[in-house]
Amino acid sequence: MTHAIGGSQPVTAAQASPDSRAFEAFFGENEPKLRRALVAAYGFEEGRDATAEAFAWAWEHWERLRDVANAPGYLFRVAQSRRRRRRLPVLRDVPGWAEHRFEPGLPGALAALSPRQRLAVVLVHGYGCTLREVSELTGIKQTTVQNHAERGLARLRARLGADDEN
Amino acid sequence: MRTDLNEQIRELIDGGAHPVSLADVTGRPPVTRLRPATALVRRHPRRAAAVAASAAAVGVAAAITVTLLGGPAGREQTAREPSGHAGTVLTAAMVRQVAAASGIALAHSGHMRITYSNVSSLAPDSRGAGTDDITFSGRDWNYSSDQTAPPNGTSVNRFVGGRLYYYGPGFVRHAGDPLSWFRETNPAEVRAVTSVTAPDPRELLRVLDPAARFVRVGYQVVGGIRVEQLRATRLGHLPGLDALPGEAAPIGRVTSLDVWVDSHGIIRQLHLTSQQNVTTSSRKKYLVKENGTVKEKLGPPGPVRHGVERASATVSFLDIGQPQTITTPAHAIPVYGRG
Repeated sequence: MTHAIGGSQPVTAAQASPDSRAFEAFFGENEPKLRRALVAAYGFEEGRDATAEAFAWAWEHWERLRDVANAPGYLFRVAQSRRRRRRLPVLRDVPGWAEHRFEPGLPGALAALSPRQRLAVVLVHGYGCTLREVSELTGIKQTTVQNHAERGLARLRARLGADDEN
Repeated sequence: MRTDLNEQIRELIDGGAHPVSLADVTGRPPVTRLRPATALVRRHPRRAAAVAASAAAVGVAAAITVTLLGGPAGREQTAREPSGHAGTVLTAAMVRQVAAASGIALAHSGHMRITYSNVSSLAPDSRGAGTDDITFSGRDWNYSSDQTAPPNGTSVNRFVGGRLYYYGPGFVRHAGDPLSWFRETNPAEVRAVTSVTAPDPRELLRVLDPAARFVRVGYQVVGGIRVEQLRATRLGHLPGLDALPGEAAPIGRVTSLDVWVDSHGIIRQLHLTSQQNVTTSSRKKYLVKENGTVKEKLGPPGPVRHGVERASATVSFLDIGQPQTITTPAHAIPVYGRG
């Protein structure tokens, strides 16, 4: 089963010019993708902050960014450069976890993966991204993404004690 | 366990980080500190005027009220001495002299303590606060982070002798394990981490830019040392603040910046405040039964709430001129590529 990570998000800002409309469209198309990738890599808070910072940068430099061939991938690098300068536990302490439907051990199991493994597992297996999509977004070679996804999923399953296929 | 692990992953990721709103993005101030790889950027004629016009037209960034927060935490309050220079603007040469003297004082080693806090008017009970303590000596550094609100314990990153070490509640192999020092053995991870997790106090000195038009405020005593308070009056462009780590970094727009320098022109303390507009809207989740299976649905969007988030940080430069010692943790457990 595949799930588009792009998705559409409602945007509410006033639509006043071609530039702002183009940015809105770009934002709506790519915010989910970038946020999910950065959250996977760096954790909820830091990943979301990095996403916001990256798009703020995109808004400021829109005249330059709009013509970049791989703008989402470029923004991913922007976000990486802006990520918080500390290492904190990732994917832990989510408010209202009890309301969600996942194994209690899943956050810890994902957190135990390396950042690249976590990124690959979340995007490839969680959101059904192709290896090419992940490669373009993150700048990691497709074969490396595949290795990280496979090894990460194996580690994840091992930690969760999962024996099912999906 | 549940069979669809992929779905659970999506639940976790989407449930843990809410979408960033367009208003958050366009309402932020310029993020000029970012310097992504220029090789990826094609050169195009500048259309600054067009973009500026569109930015003004979008208009989602509401006007930000400049609000000065309270005085810096931990500052010793003393009666100000009369100063014949109060209110006068420092010349560019004076500011550069302070920057140079401070740079020399921190050339080889230093100790910086940062206390920070932030609170949103939409959630005044969920205040964030903590203290970061950073020492460096040559290439070695120690970065201790103590988040007090919400309590998250103390975590330490230490780089000494070319090796990277971790310590703290976030760095355990299994939940409930006693705290231990870990040594990173993945060279790539060491490079990645040390490139972004080594706040250099000297980078902060870049805020001592004549363009900020510092004015004299008066004299005080900080840490037992008589210092002069200088206040930046042009806050639009303050380089160096990106050297502040994590929660101590300014949010949105900087609303005040004060520095205190001693009689040698060496910076002893820095205090900044910032704020940004925030907007929230919640959607409740509920369970519905469809075709015999229980599914989760999102309810209608709740009312949009607007508020202001304010942050402040005080940076104290300690042990000026004194050597710092960063020791190698004993009995560190080697780990490879742990994220």
